[in-house]
Amino acid sequence: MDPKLEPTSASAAHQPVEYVAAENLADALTKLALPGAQPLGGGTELSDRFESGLLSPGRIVDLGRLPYSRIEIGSDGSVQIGALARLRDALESPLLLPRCPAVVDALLASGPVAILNQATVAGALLQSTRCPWFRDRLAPCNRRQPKSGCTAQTGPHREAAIFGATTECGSVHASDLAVALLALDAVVHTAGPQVGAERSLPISALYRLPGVGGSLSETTLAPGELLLGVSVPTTARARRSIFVKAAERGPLSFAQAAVAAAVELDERGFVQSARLTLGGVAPVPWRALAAEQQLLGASLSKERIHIVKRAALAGAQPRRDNRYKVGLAEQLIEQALTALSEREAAHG
Amino acid sequence: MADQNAKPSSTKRPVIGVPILSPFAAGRPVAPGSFDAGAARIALGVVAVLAGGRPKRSGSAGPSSTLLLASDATYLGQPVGLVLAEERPRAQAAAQELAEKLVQPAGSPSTSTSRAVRQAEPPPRERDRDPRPQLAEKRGSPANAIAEAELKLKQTYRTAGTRSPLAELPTAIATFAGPHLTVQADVAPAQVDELRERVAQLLGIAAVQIEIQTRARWSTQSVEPLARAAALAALGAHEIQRPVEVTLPMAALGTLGETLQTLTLGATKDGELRGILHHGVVQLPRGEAAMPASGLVASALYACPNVEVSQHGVRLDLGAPVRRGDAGFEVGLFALETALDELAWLVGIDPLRFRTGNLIEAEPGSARPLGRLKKCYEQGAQAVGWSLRPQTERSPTARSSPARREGRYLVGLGMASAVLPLESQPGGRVILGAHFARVLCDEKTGEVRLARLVSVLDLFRDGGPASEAVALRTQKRARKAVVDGLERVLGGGLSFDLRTGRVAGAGDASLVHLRASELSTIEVQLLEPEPTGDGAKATAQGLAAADHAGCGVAPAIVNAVYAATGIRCRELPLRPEHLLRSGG
Repeated sequence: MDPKLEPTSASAAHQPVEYVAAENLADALTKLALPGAQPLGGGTELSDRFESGLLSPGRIVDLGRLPYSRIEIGSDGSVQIGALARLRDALESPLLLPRCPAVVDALLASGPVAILNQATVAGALLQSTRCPWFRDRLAPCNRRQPKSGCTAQTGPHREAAIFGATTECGSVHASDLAVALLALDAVVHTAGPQVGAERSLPISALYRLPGVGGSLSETTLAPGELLLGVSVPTTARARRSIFVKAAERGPLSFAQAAVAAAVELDERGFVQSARLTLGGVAPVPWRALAAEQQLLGASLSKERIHIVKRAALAGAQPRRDNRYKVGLAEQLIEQALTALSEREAAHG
Repeated sequence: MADQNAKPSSTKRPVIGVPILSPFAAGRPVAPGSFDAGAARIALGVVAVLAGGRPKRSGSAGPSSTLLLASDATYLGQPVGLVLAEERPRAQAAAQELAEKLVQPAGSPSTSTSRAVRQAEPPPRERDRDPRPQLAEKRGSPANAIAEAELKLKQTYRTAGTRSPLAELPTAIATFAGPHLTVQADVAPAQVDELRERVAQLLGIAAVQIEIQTRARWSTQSVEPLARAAALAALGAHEIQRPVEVTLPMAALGTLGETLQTLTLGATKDGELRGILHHGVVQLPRGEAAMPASGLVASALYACPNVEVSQHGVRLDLGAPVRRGDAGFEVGLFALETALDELAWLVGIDPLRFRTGNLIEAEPGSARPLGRLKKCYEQGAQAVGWSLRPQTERSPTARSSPARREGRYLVGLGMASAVLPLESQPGGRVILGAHFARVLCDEKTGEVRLARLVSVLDLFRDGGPASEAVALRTQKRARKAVVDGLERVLGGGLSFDLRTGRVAGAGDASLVHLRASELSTIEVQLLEPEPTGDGAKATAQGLAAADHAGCGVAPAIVNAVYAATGIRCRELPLRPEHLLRSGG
């Protein structure tokens, strides 16, 4: 689903909109190739963009009839989550909790029950940033209005990124689910408008840092390209995973900071492999590579966790009003790794 | 002229008026008249666009727009034009589109009290120079008393800028018939005359030309926002000679600026208050001379022999056409009750016992003893289990907390006296009570959960309410005010882009609304009414004071947070970063 936004005017947002339902994937791709067409899944993200005046589609293409809402085990043993699966269906699936608990944690944190009932996995992954300036149509924002400036870089910046910010954009990525999936090396599957243009890519390649490739689009999806599903490898590491989030109003709010951790331990309790990802701190789900290195070969001792959390935030570039994110993310890393350590001790 | 309970006279659907709001906090955002060019490009459905600064037609006896639609914006969200359309979405879209066409004026607006204070010393800038500090109250020699006191405390407390959260957006329908204006608005019948006078003043027409129609038997809506909605509707109605309905959006209702309150306290080692110096810096909107009193609560409660309360205003480009009447009380009480809590910990006395020991004998201006306030203290303390709080008094400098834990949360109890202004009463009469809070804090993530909030208020001191229904209604209003107060503890902190004055987060994203599940933690108890007295007067007083019951909620919460974590929050709104200990 193409998250690209066209700058729009308020009056255009109130023009009549054509609703069409796609019968199958080919039909959907054809209809989405038309100018102004936007895909409709659960509608929570789309309606939010409408209300914010960020979108003015001439045509909504309802994807509800497409068969991409199942959650099942694939032939390679991975958990296959359809892009149109509702978050609540994913949350209640018996397949996820034993295989990738971080995904369940992230789903629980993704919103209140009403959102979980309605929103789809695709919408959760492709939602646009909640940067206050992006949604203030009268404020400079390069993502919304190219070359207008980035208010998060020059004005109030409490919610701004401490990693990966560029002069073009200092916003933070909004999806909790993406942070968890990044820690689990998930793969996303897409289909484009060209015949046979289906592809699979690591979820890390789905998101784009601002300005990379000359684009300020938040994802690497091409126009008209649809997200079909996500594969989560069911590794030993995924089974020992966790997601924690700090937000002012819990699931009602977007993350001030979030952490997903996944570790694989050997029989002595030393880390064989690890993933540590951060949310609410960068324009994309952020992988803390230096911290992962600090985990390798070590036990999840208090001392090691301290080293890891410091390593994870060592490269942060906070400013006055978002400096709290550094300490907050460190605390969440400690909380996540300590919980994994305690789980390991409890279950052997 | 007023026909208070009349049915609306016109059943014809009114044209919808939506104001164009200045996206900039100061300067001339657009040349007068240029809206008309913009209007021509707007899609079908827009009836007319009124621009700010349009001169009154010569010889016209109609309304003037000068007070309503500015050509020079002096605050963020100031109406600078009015779009009239058959349908609300059309009008809103057009107003938004026209606002986007406004060009930012040169120069930076003044939106920060702290910054204005810094810039004003020395040399003062003419634009932001503080008006002369006003001495609100003085008794004894506080400076000397504090200098000689065994224990001293000096701290500054800050409240961030906030919108005026109104439960209902003000809506009015205006219809002109010749020179006569009819306004339909849900104003309380008792305030019909006040509304008419204010609308007349805003429009520059005679009050006798105006008829106010209201269907409300009672209303919590303030007159000023209704008057502005009505006057804007009247401008539109006069322009197109059709009924016009206007609902003022929250952003048009002004912004309460940041406040800074400095408290200097002195006490003996035994916990006897010897001196209070309370100095407030508050926003003073351009064009207004009056400041909300922010420090007057000290002498209403405490028997300190040496008190000085002063404040000065800072000119900000935020505007405050609609102020809550308790705004000054609320910020002053936050500072005072937090400072007293700090001093109690410094002295090493239970904060409740510290307050009880320093209460005045009788309320100022009357011989009424404070026995009923002590009852509020007792009732609230019992409700939250105050006696079960850890007995170990600890030094405020000690970071290791003896507070009890529940899972990953530290538990803390805090309280604050409530001082509710009674605006209708001359001489600063107040109603008293107390708030008690029990909070759960995760000091690692800054998370604060409110486990219980008990407010015990003495709203019927001059006799019982007229009926049980009135008592129930009063309690409900008090509860709503407490919830509003709590929401102001949690949200409402505005960050301004210093270049434009724009608020981070379009609309009202900064406001927090509690969920139903969270509301169950809040309990409002009304003290048993005095058995004798004037029921009608007591009812009126109780209802009026109930609307201010949120005063004192904030210090109760931050005092509880301190009891739990040993971290003192001197800033509102309370945010996670305030609790995060440095170094992780």
